[in-house]
Amino acid sequence: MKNGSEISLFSLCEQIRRHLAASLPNYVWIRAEINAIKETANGHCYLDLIDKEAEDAPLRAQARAVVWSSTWRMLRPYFESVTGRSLAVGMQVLLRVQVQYSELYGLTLVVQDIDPSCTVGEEELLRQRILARLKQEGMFEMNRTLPLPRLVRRVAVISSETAAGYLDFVRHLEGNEYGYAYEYTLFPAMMQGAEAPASIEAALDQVMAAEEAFVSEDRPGFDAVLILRGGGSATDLRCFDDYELAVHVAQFPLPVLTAIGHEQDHHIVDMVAARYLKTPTALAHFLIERIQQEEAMVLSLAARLALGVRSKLNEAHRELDRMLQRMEVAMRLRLARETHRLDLLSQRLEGGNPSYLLEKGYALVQQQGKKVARAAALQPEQELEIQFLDGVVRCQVMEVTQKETK
Amino acid sequence: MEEKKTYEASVKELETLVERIEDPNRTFAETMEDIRRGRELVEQCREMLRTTESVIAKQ
Repeated sequence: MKNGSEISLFSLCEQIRRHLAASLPNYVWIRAEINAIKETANGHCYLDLIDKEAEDAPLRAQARAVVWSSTWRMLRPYFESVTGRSLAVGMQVLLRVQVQYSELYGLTLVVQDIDPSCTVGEEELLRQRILARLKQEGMFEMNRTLPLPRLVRRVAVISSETAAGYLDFVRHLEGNEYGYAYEYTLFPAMMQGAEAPASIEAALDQVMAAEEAFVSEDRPGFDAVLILRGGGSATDLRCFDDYELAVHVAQFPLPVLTAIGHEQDHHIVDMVAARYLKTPTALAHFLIERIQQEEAMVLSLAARLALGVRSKLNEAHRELDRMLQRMEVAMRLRLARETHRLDLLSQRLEGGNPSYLLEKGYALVQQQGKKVARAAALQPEQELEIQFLDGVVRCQVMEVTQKETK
Repeated sequence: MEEKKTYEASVKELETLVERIEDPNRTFAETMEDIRRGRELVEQCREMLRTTESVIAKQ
């Protein structure tokens, strides 16, 4: 090393700063991944940016960046409104930066602007990857194949106790105009943010534990599980695109019905659930209409049954009338026959009555209580009884004279 | 008290009585008793027929 050729660190850094300032444009758009992010109390946001050729490749560049508070105040809400997310570690971003070099602090990229479309594309890519994976694993049909009871009356509700969506649901359900009674049990969970998926999964586990307790106590379990929350920002609802939560819902042994967010929101959890309703209010209507339809069907069946029974009754009445007529005819014939039979019996009865003969002056000859109809049956000196109308004469046979036969 | 007989049983007894009345070996007293019983049975049977006839008439 030669004396006089050395320069100070400051001189070197100053030359670097000048060269950079002279050779680089005022700003440049860079694509990078956020490796760390920190928002300070004075409102500045510091980022560690990295660059890798592929997701699992080694780092090929890294740099510090800062978003000054004056810029950060505008960039953050803009980014979140477009992407539905906050800047976070692992996120791909497209930033307009000014390269600054300080002799004291080194290289810093001062962020001037951000293009959210890059990040949106990344988010959508991630979502599509989750959807493809769930489809490959057969998760879409799993919960949907569970039979939903015709009457869904006992439900486990996973929501936040104070959420407007939950309160809307309860109000509509309890105020239903038909007076249907529902039993709902709330299993509270966080319904937004990064911790929401794990919280909802824990609530699902609690529902299962309660269901098993019902079964062991031989009590009716839940008809279905409802996951409810009202509308919110895309950031709030991002948790419902979580893969693990989607798997949990798909594999849940009870039908899961979801109503998350606004009418335009449709999340991955909705896709794997047994039913997806647009809003908690719509879900309440669905449950009410389901019972209403069943009631209408039962009433219709009851009306048809009554009609059928009436028809059968009428037919039975007509048949009875016909039978009655036949019976009357048969009975009249029978009565006539029986009357005639009785007349004949009565005639025979009276014809055998010896009193009529006695009244006419005839007498009945008996011997030891037996009728004597022939003179030849008698011998002289035998004793006889002669029955008159007014008494009996005992006598003895003097002589038997038989009529001569020619 | 005599248990009320069915129509068929009464007619059957009546037929038996008539056959007995026509039997010449029966004594006068027995015949007269059979006739008394027979008349009673005839009246009972006629009453049963009249009752049946009135039931049919009411239909």
